[in-house]
Amino acid sequence: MNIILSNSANEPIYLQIVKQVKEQIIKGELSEGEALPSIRNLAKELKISVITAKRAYDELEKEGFIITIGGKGSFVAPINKEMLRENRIKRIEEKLSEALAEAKLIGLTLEELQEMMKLLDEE
Amino acid sequence: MYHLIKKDLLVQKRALLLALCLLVWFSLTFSGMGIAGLSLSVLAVTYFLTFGASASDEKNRSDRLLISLPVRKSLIVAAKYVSVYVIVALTLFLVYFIHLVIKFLQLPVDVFPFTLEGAAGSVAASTLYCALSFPLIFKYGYMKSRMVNFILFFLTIGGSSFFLDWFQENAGLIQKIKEFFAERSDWETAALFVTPALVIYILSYCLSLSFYRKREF
Amino acid sequence: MDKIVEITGLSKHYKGFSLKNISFSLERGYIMGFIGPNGAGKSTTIKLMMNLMKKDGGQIKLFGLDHEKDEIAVKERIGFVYDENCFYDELTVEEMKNFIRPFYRRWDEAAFRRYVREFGLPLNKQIKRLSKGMKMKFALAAALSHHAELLIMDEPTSGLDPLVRNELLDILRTLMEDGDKSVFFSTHITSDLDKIADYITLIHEGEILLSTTKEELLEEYCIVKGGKNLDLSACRELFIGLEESRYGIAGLARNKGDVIKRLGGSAVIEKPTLEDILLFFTSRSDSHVSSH
Repeated sequence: MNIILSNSANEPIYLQIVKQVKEQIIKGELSEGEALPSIRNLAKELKISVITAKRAYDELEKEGFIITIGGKGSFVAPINKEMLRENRIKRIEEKLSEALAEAKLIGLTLEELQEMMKLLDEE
Repeated sequence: MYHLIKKDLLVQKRALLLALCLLVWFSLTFSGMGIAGLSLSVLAVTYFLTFGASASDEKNRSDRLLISLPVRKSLIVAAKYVSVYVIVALTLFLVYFIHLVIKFLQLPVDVFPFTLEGAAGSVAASTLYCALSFPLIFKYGYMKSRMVNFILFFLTIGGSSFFLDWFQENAGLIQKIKEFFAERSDWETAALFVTPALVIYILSYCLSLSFYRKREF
Repeated sequence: MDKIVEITGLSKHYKGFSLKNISFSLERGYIMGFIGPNGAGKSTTIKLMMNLMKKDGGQIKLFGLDHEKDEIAVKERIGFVYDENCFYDELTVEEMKNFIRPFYRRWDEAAFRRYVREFGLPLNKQIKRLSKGMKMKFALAAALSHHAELLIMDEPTSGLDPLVRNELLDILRTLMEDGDKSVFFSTHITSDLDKIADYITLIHEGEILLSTTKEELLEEYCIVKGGKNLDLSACRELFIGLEESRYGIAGLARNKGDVIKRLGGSAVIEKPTLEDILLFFTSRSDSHVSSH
């Protein structure tokens, strides 16, 4: 498992961890059933607060990517293809909302935005 | 407690050597003073070593260490009081050793006699002096009470010699006292001297402990 | 919830300074950074915990025990590292250790020897001849060699070079791995805590200004940087402090979500460091920008 944290990014550390672990699970770099480091071990190795590490694991568990068995640790959950797709769709929605918000700020209309999408797709 | 006392001696390794030299010096220079010679030299060296330990404590700000350790303040204070007797015993032993060496080497020097009365006098003088000055140290710290302790020291010496002179002059009273004690057994005599000294010492301990408990570091 | 430290309503008054109504707690297995400027009351709080001073009011519970009534039992389980050397300069490292050792029932000589090896402590050197970093390491070795469950550190890194400071943080991280111990780390050098602390308690002029997880702190607060003409009228009340320079303004604001909504793209919004939080919360200057 590889985790690279950036302090200068404005993104909260726990979120960076969640994203990177998710990605590795989706890509298959982390296999189903594989054991993850304990929260405290992760905190020690990444030099972060235990609470941050716990939050990352809690979030990953909430989104269904890992399961924690009390006393044994955390493991990569079986990959649910449907859930993955849902996740991706959710992300795309978020990105589109962002784009819409930015567009509104400078007064770009919906049609102009759609035009942009077509052009980008042709590239 | 053993460790607290041991620490007091361990921090003054150089001072112990100096104490030995002082005792040699005193043995030679106080030779004309008779019994008092032993008492005074022991008192002086006891003062030197006991307060040397207090000075070291203060310099190292070690009260903070001692109080942070799991040890009761009552033990810290008690160790100080007991250490006086350890030092007196050590000093008496050193003096005895010095006198043995002088006798053995048959050096042509005069030394004051090493007698039981002298030893008892050492214990009494040290007890009295420490009973008076320790509470000051526990209340104000060694540095602040240095001057007062110094004065007390000379008062004790002066007081003792005044006391001895007074004894000389009141031979009649001495006679009566001697008769009084002659009638008593050795144990009763010892008890009559030791008890008030112990009482003063214990009162002093209680006072010191209450000061130390209230003090802030 | 296993609270190793529980302080409620602690107060202490002496000439020129008062500690008022100090309350915070620390659970087992976490590191609390106790931050504040010099003279804020950090050392006083620690001295009250260790009975070096007598409190005027309030309650201090360590390991669920009263810190005065169960003083000895409590101190057996505490390891302490103070900033100024409180050891006997004339003794050697070994002699000093032998002095401390008998006071602790759970002294672990093997553990001490391990730390001696790990830190490279010269056993036969007099303490006065040790460098500042070595003195701190010795204090740490002694503090960690009797199975202490709470490590109290009062400005342990002041005067130390970054290398030694980093070594200390690494040691603390390893210590926290079993989740059994807690660390109470008092310092004004907040950069040490930026990475390692779980909880942050900020004290200023004898009062606790905040006590929360570092996560929440960094989530809740943000640094806002903008041009001099930045319009803050919509969110002035969210700002803790503001600084003006020749080329712009910068400030610490709470309620990051609100700030982003109200200022959006007109300002740069960043994660604050603990130093930012310390500075803005305790700044004495009133360099507030009047909003137009």
